[in-house]
Amino acid sequence: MTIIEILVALTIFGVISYLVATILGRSVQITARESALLELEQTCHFTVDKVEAALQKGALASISVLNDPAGGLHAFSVNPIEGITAEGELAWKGSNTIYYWNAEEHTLYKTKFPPGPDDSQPVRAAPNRLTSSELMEVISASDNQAVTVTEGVTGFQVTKSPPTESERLFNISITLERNIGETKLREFTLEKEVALRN
Amino acid sequence: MTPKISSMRRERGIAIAETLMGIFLLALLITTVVNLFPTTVLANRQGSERLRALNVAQSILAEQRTRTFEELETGSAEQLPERSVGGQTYQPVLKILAPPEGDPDNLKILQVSVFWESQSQKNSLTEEIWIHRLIEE
Repeated sequence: MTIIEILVALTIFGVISYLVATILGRSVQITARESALLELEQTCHFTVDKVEAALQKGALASISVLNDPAGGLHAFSVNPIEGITAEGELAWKGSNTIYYWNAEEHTLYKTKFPPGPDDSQPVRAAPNRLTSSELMEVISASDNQAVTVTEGVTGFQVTKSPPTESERLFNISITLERNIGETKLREFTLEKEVALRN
Repeated sequence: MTPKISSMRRERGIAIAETLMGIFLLALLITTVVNLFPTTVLANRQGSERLRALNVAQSILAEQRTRTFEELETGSAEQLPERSVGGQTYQPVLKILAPPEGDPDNLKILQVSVFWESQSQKNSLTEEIWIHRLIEE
């Protein structure tokens, strides 16, 4: 094999390697971007499902919603149903589950009121529906007990659905934002209607 | 001497057929590896589009559940307004059907089909719930 043959072979190998590396690099980039988008969407579905499950544990009489666009605070409180008594009456858990979104921190939190384990509070005979001011107080006092549900939340709202104005129908809306790639910010919004079963 | 010379000549270099075969095999290998990536991306997209369609169908079923039993007219089919999720448009169609078995006066089926188009392919998904009249004693 002469030096010229070796040089030609090396050049061809170099060109092919460059082409393959370029194509593979681009493919890996696309796959990474798509995976990140999928993760963003699945996080959205996961969060909406969690919120829906929390609402369905309660009933209309035990749910209160706080939507304060000026304060950038959106929250809801649910007093879940514990069970049914021997007399056929509903019994309610001793603590409320509260989800709140802090617009500044872009985070959705979950907390309990009163705090502590589930069985530490006596079962209630009537639902504990928190008023807006009570909800606001609980949230401001529960900073160190709150658990992070989802980060990167740029929009969150639980409202009564406008089309039917049905008492039992709630609309959950959540917007998530993630860094896709190195600089691109992508946003995804998911809405779901939930009809309360209780 | 002749056979030795011809043997030496045969061993020199690579034949054009061998080169072509080499290029063909390399191209086949590259194509297979590169094809794996778009397939994964496409599968991901189809999965998320289906999940969004399911979400649309479940939302519509939840809305319909709040209507009274009498408001649900058996045999009707209604094309509902399009919904857009993540840049994809979904066309829901609501059908209210009588049950194949059982009492049609007290039982109805709410069926929502969601249609969407992606990669010039038509897709659909159907979800249904059975609704029973509340019987007051």
